[in-house]
Amino acid sequence: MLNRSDKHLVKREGDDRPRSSASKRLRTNGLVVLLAVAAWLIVWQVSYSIFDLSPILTSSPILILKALVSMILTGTYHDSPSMYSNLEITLQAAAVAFLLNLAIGFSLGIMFGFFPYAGRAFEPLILILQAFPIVVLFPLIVLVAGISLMGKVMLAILIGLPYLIFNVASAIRSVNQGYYLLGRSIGFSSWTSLRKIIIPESAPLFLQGIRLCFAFTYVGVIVAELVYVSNGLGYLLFWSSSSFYTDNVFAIIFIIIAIGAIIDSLFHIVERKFFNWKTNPQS
Amino acid sequence: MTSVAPDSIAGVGGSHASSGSKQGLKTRIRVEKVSKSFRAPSSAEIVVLKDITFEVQQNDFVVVVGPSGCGKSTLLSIIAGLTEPTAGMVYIDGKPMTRPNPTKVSIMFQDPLLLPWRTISQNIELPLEAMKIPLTERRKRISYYLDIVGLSGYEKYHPREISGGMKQRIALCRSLAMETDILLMDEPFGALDEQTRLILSDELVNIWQRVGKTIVFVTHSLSEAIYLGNKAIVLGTKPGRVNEIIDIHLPRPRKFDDPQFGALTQRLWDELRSETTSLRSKARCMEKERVLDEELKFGQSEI
Repeated sequence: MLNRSDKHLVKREGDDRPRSSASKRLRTNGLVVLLAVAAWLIVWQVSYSIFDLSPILTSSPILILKALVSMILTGTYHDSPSMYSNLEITLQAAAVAFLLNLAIGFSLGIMFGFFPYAGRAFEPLILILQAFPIVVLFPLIVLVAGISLMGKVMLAILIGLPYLIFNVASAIRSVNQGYYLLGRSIGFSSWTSLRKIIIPESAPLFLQGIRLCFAFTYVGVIVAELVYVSNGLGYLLFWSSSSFYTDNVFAIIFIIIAIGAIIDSLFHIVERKFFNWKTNPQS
Repeated sequence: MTSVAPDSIAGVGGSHASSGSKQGLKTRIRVEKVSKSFRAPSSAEIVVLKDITFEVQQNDFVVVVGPSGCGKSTLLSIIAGLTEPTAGMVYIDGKPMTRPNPTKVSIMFQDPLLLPWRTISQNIELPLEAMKIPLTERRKRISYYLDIVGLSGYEKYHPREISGGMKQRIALCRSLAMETDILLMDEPFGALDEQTRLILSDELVNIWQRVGKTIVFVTHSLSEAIYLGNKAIVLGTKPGRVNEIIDIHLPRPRKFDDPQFGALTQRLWDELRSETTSLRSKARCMEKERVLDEELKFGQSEI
């Protein structure tokens, strides 16, 4: 029989000495990546200078850095429209679209999760939405909703929603059926079972869906701004490229990606803090 | 809670349909002509159980044996109140069982079903939350029953940090913490390796004798049945009905090399051999299982 003295036989997370070797590995990996990126940047810069490349068709790391610094510190470069006010516009649209996506996505997703037959009717619609680039539908939508906030939001929703619905529904369906039995056998009402067992169990997969949904919603907003030249970062991109400020173009792309990465890392932090039990199921 | 003197009457008991209370012991569970059938969407009616009748007395350790997959688990879930019988009724302490009753009956499954985001002690606490037991009492029960299953000190661990056998012990601990008199167990050791199974079987018998529970244990292992039970209910299949009820009076702790152990094993096997499912009825069993799962998920006796 296992007793207190046998504790040493059970491996506990963080016991042996995984800390040092894992973080050491991480640091060496990080170092390698850093070196590779640095090498690549050097090659790029050197090629640009040596081959005397055109600043209109291409750019160089140093020029891009100048543009980036100017953009971040002053919000403008080459007299571009203000980056920060456009950023605000984009983020506003993304937030609205994302929140709407959450509301619609979870309602429909949970419904389809518990009543798969209800989902059958919508399945073809969702498959269609995913099967081809929604960009193709943009002209139709713009006719109805215009190119300002409403239009952008609608486009972004169309792109991000299917991911959320699908992930939420399949999260619910993948819950171990035994948990329902467990809840009933100990006397939980359906609602309490849902609250204490089913939802926490599905939460990590919900987060995955939310994360994907946000990524696509954000991209959707930017694409809408770019294609319809309305406002926001996508518009700024268009402005820079049509003015042939290629260094600006790179800088703005960098900013767009960086913002997306920062927000995604927030999701990652949440996952690490709360859902370790799902990502490491057997330590 | 009374502790039970180990079975000391040697010899193999005859089979009979037990009725009334023996030796003045109270009847805790009465299963009366319970039948269960399903109408599968694809085919005709499937009769899983037919006219199951038996009684379980206080401090009995009843094992239900039968061919794999058909009826045993359904019977247990009917006794637990998770499924409604098509005909007949189960009476717990004289009252009909139509929905789960966590004050009287607790059930353990083959899957320990621990919640991975909760610590061990939070997992054990789950049914206590449902029963609205005050915090101080919860602490007491958790530490007491953790000690009984031999896992004191593991309160703050998570399910992913312990082995399969330990998980089942925690599941047992959780059921014990509910302090119900009746414990139902559906092949709880089925997914474990043999040594763990033997160790846990021994511990289960000790706990049964120490705490004084009434246990109904479903298994398809003959040796497990004879090792554990003082009464074996042999179910047949197509449809499932009670073929025999065998009293097992071997002294405890039981030994596998006891010749009477062997005789009983042979007897059980002879009973079951004639019920060995053919390939076609195996398929029917699997269809039954699928329909059962659908039904069990949402239950029939929703409040």
